Formats: sequence, C-alpha cells, structure tokens
Amino acid sequence: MISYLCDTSFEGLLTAIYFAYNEKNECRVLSGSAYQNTLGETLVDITTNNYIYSKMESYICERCGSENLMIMYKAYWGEAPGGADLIFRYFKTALKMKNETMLMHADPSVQPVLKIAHRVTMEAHKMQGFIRFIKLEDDLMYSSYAPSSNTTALVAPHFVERMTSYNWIIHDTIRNVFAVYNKKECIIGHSVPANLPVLTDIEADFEDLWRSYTVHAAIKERLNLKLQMSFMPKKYWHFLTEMNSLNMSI
Amino acid sequence: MDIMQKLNILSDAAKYDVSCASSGVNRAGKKGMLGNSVSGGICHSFTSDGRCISLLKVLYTNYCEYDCTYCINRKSNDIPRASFLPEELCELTYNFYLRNFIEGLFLSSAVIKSPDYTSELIYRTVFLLRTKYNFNGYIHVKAIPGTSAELLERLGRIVDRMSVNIELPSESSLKLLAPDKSKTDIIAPMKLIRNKIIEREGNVRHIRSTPKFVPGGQSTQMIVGASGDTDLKIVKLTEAMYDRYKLKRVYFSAYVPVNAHPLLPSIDSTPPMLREHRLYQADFLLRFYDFKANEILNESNPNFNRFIDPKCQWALLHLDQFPIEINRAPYKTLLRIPGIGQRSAKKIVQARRYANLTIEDLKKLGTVVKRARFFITCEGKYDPLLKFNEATIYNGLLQSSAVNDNQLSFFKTASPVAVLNSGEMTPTIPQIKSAFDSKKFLKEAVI
Repeated sequence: MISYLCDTSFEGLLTAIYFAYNEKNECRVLSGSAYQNTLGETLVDITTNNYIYSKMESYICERCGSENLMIMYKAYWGEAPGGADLIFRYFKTALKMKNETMLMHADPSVQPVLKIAHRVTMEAHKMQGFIRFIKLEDDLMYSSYAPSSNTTALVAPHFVERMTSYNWIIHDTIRNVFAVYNKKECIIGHSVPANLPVLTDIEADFEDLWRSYTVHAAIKERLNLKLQMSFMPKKYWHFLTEMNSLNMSI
Repeated sequence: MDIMQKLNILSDAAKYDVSCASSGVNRAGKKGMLGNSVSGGICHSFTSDGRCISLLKVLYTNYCEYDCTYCINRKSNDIPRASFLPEELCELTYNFYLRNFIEGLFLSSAVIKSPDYTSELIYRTVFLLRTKYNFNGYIHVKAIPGTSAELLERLGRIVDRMSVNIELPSESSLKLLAPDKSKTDIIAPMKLIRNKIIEREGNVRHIRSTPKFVPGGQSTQMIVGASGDTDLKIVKLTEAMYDRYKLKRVYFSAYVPVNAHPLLPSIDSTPPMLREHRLYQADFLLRFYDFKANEILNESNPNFNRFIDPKCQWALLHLDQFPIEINRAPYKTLLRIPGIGQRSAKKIVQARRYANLTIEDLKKLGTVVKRARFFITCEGKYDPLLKFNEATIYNGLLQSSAVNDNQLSFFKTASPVAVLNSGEMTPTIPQIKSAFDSKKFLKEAVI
C-alpha cells in the first residue's frame, strides 16, 4: 500500500489527492504528522503545489459540481482524524455520481464525509449566534472565539451581510485564523492585525446589562441546567460574555 | 431609576412569554443600516431553564389596567413597576445587537391607559429604532387586543412578526380568569393581520413594490394548566388556528404559579412541563407530519398519555398498518413511523435509490432506531430479536422512553390538574384501546 502524506492545508490535500488518484495501486491519503505506519507501507511525501491545487479545484467544480467541492471544503474544515482519506474516497465516488453523491446517505464512502460536513455546518450556524463582539475605540468591533472546527470562512459572510457599516475582526484563537472586514471586503488569513485600539469605557456597562438580562430571563421554577448545557456546551463558555465575566480582555 | 433596574423589572415581567423565534424572514443587509434577518432564525444564548434567547424580550411597561388572575403584572399585585423610554429601549437594542448578543427585539407591554395608547408607545419605539437608529434586524411586537385597525396596520409595516395571545383555550376560562379580555377582542387583530397579509400577497403580484406586511407571519400563545381545559380542546384549537388564521406558530406555556387564587392551581405546584411537552409533540404532528387533531386525541380519550408520545400512541392503536417496509413505503407513510422525522424520511427516500437499506444503514442515517425498529421491516425482514405484537411493542416503547425519567419525576409533586389528566398508574393496552373506538376512528383518519 502507498500512502500519500501532505501538510494540513487544503492546497496540500488536493495536491495529494491528485497524485493518489493517478496511482494504479491501492493507496491512501494522510495529512499532518499524526498517522500510524502500517507494515509494508510506502510513504510518499507530497509538497504542496499551488498550480496542481488550482487545476484540481476547477477540475472538481467541472466534473463533480461545485456543491461537492463545498462539501469537501467543509469536511476538511471539520479536521476529523482520517479526514483526508475520507475526502479522497468521497472524491472518487463524486467523479462517478456527480450531483447525486450527496443523496447516497448510506454509502460507506459518502456517509462519513456528509456527516462531518453537516457537523461543521451546524457548528458554523451555532457560532453565528455565539460569537460576541466588543467595541474598541474608532468603532472597531472585535471578537475572539474558539470553535471545534474551522468555521471562520463559513461564519464571516454572515457578518459581512449584517455589519456593513462597521470595521470588524473575528479571531479564531485556536487556529489563529482572522477574518478582517473594512466596510468593503472581507479577508480571511493568518496574519495578525497590528496594534488593536483600546476598549471603550461603556463596554463594561453593556456587558453587565446583558449578564443581568440573561439571569432575569430565566424562569426559576423551570430550572434545567442540563438542557442549557446541551444547547450551549461548556467548551464555548469562555468566550460567551454571559457565562464568563473575565472573557473580554483581549 | 437606572436602566439596569428597568431592564431587570421589565425582562422579569416579560419572561413568561414563550415565543422567541427570530425566523421566517430573509432580509439582506443594507449599506448604512445595522442588521439583516435570516429565515432559519439564530439562537444567541440559553438561559438556565434551557430556553433560548434570540430576541431581547421585554415589556415596554408593566403598569397594567387589567386584573387577570394568572398574570404576574395584574393591577392588584404589589410588585415593582417600571416603564422604558423609547430612546432607552432603542439604545439597548442597538448596542446588544451590535455585540451579537441578540437577533432583534421582542416588544410586548402591559396595558397602560388604553390599548391604543399602549400600542402607540410601542409604535413610536419601533419607528425610532427603524428610522433614527437604522436598525434592520428582527422585530416582534405583541398586538394588544382592542387596538384600532389603523394603528395595527401602521405597526405591521415596520415589524417582522406580530402575535396576539389567546391566553386561555376557551371563552369560559377567559371569563373566569381574565375578565377584562374577551374572545372577540383577541380574534379581531388576528383576523386583521391575516387579511392584510393575504391582501399584500395578492397585490404584490401586480405591483412588486407593495410594502411588506408582517413578513414573518403571526403567532399566538396559550397558557396550559391554569384552567380545566382538556388536551383535546387545546389540540383542536391549535389546528383551527393554523387552518383559519394561517398562524406560523402556536406556543404553549406551562402555567407557572405566580399568584395565589382559589381558581388557580396552588402556589407551590410545579408547572405541568410534561403536558406542555406532549402538546408541542402534537403541534409538530399537525404542522409537519400531516396529522389531524382527531387522529391524535378524541372525545373518549381527551388527554395525553404520560408514558408514550402521541405518535407512538397513534401507531400502537393502528398496528394493522404496520410494519412498514422502509425500502418501499412512500414519503408520507414513512412520516407515520415513530422515530422517523422529516429529516430521516427524506434521507431514506434519497438513499434507497442507490442501495437497499438495512437497519444498520438507518442508524448511520441518524434515525432513532430504538423506537422505529418496532414498526418497520428492512428488505422484508422484521427485527429477529422482536415479536410483532402489542405487548412486546408497548413494553419496548416504555423502556426506550425511560430516559425521560428526569421529566417524569417532576410529576411526583405535580399540580392537581396535571395528575388528574395523566393518571398515576401506567395504563395497560386494553385501557388505551378501549379509550379509542378504533373502527370509528379509522374512518376519520386521513393517511
């Protein structure tokens, strides 16, 4: 068996899929450094090639449909263990089945990828609600959050639509991914914006009002902390203003 | 009084309103304005009782002219009172929205001076928010019964959703507990909103620029467990609301005892949460599963079973229609199987075109197999570990719903009304059976 090993970028993944697809023998695709060597396995290191990547992307769009490319993107953002190989198998099925691929819910090559993609979509939707902004000087809105999957690219368009007349930054603190909006366009990247302005004075007041509101909106006769936790898992609490009073220091 | 105190008093007073949906409207963002609206709705937080916070839900004021027995804000209650100013409320909404705390505003009010006076205050606030603050997010307002048609029309053009609470499921309980409100007063604004929405739908075909009118539709709410009305009555009323008034949602609110009164459940009774839960299950059967009210409950069996849900109960009484073959049955028949919802049914219909589905496949699809397995065959085979008879299925279902223990335990000290309705003993199959005249019932069933 041959294993194609790529880095953790989507460009790297598509490059590896390109080589794996052209391989006649049985093979698999691995990404990152967390993999287990099996006996009699040949490891091929793939260097990310942007030319192959862009060719592959348009090839997938043309041959499998853009919806399938989106599903592969989402599955990649899910960062699931073994995800690279699952996406490779999905790609092979998608070449045959085209737009019908996402209807084959029971197919072993399709189902795991759809499941991851769905999980990512749902988390991105949750993040649209759970992201909290703070207002800095110069009307800059800043938000830091820590989702389980890489949802920034899915979340940002929602806020582009919503907050057209403000500059804002969404910062994924786990992956160090930034979405930066300047009232015209939104750029997603890894570069750290230099010198953030300071917090405005009224910020603490609004946070207190909000915290107090969330307490008063509850009916104490119906207390159900388990239900609250299942909708709003603890892993998100540290960036939710109402659950954590120390959050808002950048 | 500072804004914090006002917010506390007026959110405390508004929390018994159930609706918090921010759904039903898709509106793009606009340059120079803040906000847009997403048709699926977005939850921003969850309170310690597990309900979602989507909108900033407050009363404009809790000074009330009325004296409804069940209401915390009744005139004769000695509680702290407050009123917002339009600017205060706008400032609060805008800033909460900007920080992504909320999806919009839910503005209700106690009746101060007169319904028209109250509605005018609500209108002024919303108008200010839309024009001066350029707020483009979701706004839900309560239509106060008794408000003039002209004012309601003006309100309808600048908000996304309106709702009129029918409060209690029958006119007699309304007379008893809310003497200042009448059925006709409550129905009038509902009719007006429905007619205006239909009128707008007709006009927009000819003139595309016809202004929007309550694009998110209207909803309503009723209190469950404060009066002696049966579940059947409530389900029938719900069905009529959807059919006649084209409502988007009917909400149920388990009565939380806030006032001591001889006509109400005792002050230390717990809210009938399981009953509320069953009503929502029935509500979903009406809205998404093509059930009719008289299939869910009937005269000889007017209340829900506390041990199994309405869909399972229906299936148990119609075992002659089961088991259903997963790989063949049409979509609407799949929807009748307990444990299979719209999502599962759609996936099954799609996936079975490519391969026959087994029970393992169903698990992968995300179907709740623990209930569905009693009612299905896969490729002609019934689960070999089970026997297809009433006793096995009934006991199996009881075991699978054992996870609800937490909810059932509320009823150890439940309100007299709830205990009366549910019966303390586990009902046996003959009891359920005899309650329904199944032959007569079958004729009414629409499948």
